[in-house]
Amino acid sequence: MTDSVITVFWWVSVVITVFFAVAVVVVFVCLWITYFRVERTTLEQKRIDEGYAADDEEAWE
Amino acid sequence: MAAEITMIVTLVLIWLSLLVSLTTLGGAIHFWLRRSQKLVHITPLPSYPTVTIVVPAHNEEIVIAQTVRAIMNLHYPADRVEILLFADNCNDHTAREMRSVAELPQYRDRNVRLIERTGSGGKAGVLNDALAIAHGDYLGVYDADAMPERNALYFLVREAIANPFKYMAVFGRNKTRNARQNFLTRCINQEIVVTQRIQHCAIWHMFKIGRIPGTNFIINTDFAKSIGGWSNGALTEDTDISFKIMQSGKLIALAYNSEAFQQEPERLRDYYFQRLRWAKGNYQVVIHNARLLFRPSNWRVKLEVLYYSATFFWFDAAIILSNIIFLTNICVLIARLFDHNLSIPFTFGDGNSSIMQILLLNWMLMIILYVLQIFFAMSTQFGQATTEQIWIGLASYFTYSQLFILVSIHAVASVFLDAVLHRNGSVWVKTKRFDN
Repeated sequence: MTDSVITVFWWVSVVITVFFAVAVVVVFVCLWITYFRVERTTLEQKRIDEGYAADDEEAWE
Repeated sequence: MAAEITMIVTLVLIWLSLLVSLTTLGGAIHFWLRRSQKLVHITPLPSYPTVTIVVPAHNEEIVIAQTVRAIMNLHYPADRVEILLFADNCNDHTAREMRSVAELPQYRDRNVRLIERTGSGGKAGVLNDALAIAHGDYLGVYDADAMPERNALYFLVREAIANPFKYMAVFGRNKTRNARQNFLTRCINQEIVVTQRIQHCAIWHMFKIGRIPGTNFIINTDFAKSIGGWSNGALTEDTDISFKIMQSGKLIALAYNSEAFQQEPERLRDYYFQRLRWAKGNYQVVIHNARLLFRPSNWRVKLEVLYYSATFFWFDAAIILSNIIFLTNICVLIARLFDHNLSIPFTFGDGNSSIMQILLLNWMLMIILYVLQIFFAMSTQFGQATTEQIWIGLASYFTYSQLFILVSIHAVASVFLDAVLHRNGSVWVKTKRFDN
């Protein structure tokens, strides 16, 4: 195999590695945003559900 | 030269598969960023279509009582629900357990039918029998080990009536109820969460493609009849009917709030044979539908065939090739301790060290992305994103995930031999249940 093919492959590897590195950073940031939002929303949801529980049961009867 | 081409082809195949995975992950991130702040309100529906719930059970005496009780307690008007409990070819006390719950005083006025079935066709056969006698507008399916949460059916119906002419089926998600039993169930839990919180959400969000998961779903009864119901004896009847629905141009909608708890295998042997059945079933469906890639057919079907091919064919082929390269080099390196004249077969010649350095970094980033994907899926579920999950994710990369290679090789060989030897490859191996 010629050296030029190896060189092209090396550059492709570098580009993909950089792409993965960027993806890692983006996913990491989105993960923490989602984590905090889900925890906050779920706690709020639980408070609402507890408040509605009694009325809700009657509505289904 | 052949060695270098093999290495390059393998890596390109792996990168392409990862591109598919990253696209899916991107779709899921967008989906959850938009929904993670939404509160869920249980408000009365504009109408309550009738639903026939089917529970196919084959020797399920250990888990069936809990499931029937959970179905009886579903938050949906009782007079709009018909329940068909199928004890399918049972030689244990499944029917007795079903009856014991159905006859409890609080459930006496419920519309419940217990059918002790002796026919063939497996689960698909049961569903077809149910389809023939169901009175509901929708047919809902819960496996014997699937305990729906109280609002599971409500969310399914709410989604179905949002677009009743397009959404012919709606599916929810299944959670592992024995997730903390051992390392295997912890890994399965992660896999299930990733599948349902990332793959299912992303492909619905991006392409409006849904996959019936086998349990916790409803399907329009008339529509199911019009497409001929389920394929009797199919190993993965859920994948099979999903393709049929998409081919008809209708949609399988996702109701991500509808949740059911299901039991996963706790022993390696049970896990292996369950996944072998799934892999074989999926191979059969993909091979059967591969011709649709080259014929006029629904674009969603083409995309799904490509997606399944990516997972079950080219990614597998790449990983197997990659492992062969790795193991061959390791063997030669060991052999070189005894014979210094041996040369390492898979290298890039003079440029080897610089390429290997960059590929090592590439591999490390792949592992980090794998763990991040798991942790992202966990973060969409309250209380699941713990540091323990990171370590389990990391350990599963080198252990649990590698099992998939064995399962795939076994499944491909089995499908191939079934075809060559004309043997019946659609034999179900029942997943063992546990009393927990």
